[in-house]
Amino acid sequence: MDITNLKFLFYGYSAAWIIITAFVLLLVSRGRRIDRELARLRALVENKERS
Amino acid sequence: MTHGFRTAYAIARKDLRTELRTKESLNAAASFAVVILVLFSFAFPLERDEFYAISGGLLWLVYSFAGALIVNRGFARELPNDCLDVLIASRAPGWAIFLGKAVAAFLLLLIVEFICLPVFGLFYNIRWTDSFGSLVLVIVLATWGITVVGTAFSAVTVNVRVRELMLPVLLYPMIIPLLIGAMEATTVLLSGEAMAGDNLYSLQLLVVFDVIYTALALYLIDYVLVV
Amino acid sequence: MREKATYLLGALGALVMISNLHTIFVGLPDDALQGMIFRIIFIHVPADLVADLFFTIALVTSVLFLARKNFIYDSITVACIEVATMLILVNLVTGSIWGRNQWGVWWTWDLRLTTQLMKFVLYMSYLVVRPAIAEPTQKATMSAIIAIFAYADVPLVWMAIRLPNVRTNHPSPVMGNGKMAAVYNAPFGMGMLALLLIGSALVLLRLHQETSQREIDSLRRELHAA
Repeated sequence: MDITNLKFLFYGYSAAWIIITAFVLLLVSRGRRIDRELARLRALVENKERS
Repeated sequence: MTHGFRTAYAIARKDLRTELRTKESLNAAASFAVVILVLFSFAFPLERDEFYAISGGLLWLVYSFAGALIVNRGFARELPNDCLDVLIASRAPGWAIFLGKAVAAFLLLLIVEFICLPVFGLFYNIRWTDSFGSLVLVIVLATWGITVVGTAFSAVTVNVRVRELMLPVLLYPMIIPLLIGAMEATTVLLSGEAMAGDNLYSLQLLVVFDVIYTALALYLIDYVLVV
Repeated sequence: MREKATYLLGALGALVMISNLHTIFVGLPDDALQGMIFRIIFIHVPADLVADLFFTIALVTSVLFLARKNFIYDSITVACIEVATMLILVNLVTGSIWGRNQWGVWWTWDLRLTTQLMKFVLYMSYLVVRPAIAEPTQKATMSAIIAIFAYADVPLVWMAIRLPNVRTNHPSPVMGNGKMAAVYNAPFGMGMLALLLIGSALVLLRLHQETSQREIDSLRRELHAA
């Protein structure tokens, strides 16, 4: 195998994967925040309905 | 249909009359444009002949900055005293309101542009009087494109936070093809070449842009103008 | 149910991607001129193609939202546009790295790269303006309209950059599309599939979040009203 330009290939794939991973992490953290807020609001509504 | 056109005419006349009486945005846009012209002269210390190559680009950058200022007022003008809600609730068809405002903005922007043109020629020593007819055609086509997209986005962003920032953020990327065509055509004309052969492609681009976005805006504006 | 689908798609996509990477690095002959860097094409071009697919889906759902006023369409639109914008960024960055290696410059204003940059800028403006609209129905309606306008702009950008005198001072490098040898077709297809699966998983995830957000908004209104 001709390994010229291997360094750049590595940079290329790393960049692609870093971007995708960063996006996934962003989505997941936003998702956790939304789930927390939703749970909190649902509990509040339940308390209100009970009282 | 004629009712619609009559409404559009009435709205255009109202907008023009209000603006020409106070001259608020006219003055702001025209002075802003002149200031930018001066700024650019410091930014690009070029020889006279080299300058022709970027003349079209420079002119249309200035015009698009002025354009954003003018279209920003378009629907925002109706916000005080709930005028916008009344307009929407009235019998006036959405496309007529839009058309009236777009035409008014178009004419106002044309006024600013034709004020700037001699100033531009003066500061940069550019002859713009040869092939003046073709130049006017290019200016009219491209200005219509800027105002039709700008007025549509003015309606879209009328209730948005930080409207003065959001409108340019939306507008500029959208009109880039139009600006490319206009810049190219203007550079060609100011450099003394004829508007023929390959150069007609930029005119085609302007026309296609105008047709597509006028149709889109007129069709979609009813979804935007809801109370 | 939907969560299972999301995880399944994601896992499947990851598997396909890994197997494809194996094929790319071990199973393929080299390109005579470019050496190893040529293999970047297996993520560079699929990223663009999958992004274009998602932009088209976003266009369709935007129109559907305006016609039917069902908020699910708006959620699909924003999810597709977010994922597609991210993929365009992947396309731009990998293209830039490839360009730095092959032509010595990080950027050149040729037809393809400029169109990609324009797509990125256009849909970024969508993503920037959307949060600034407070009221949910208006947010969805205005977003749909912006998405439709943005999609119409892309062919016009393509038309504009092909103007004769624009950008002729830079060479127009060919990235080898359409000229690949047959042996490359399988990894290319697998790369497409992998990104499609991963992209769809992300869209579903984002869609789920949009629905939760809408439930949050309605719960808030209920609490305030009582």
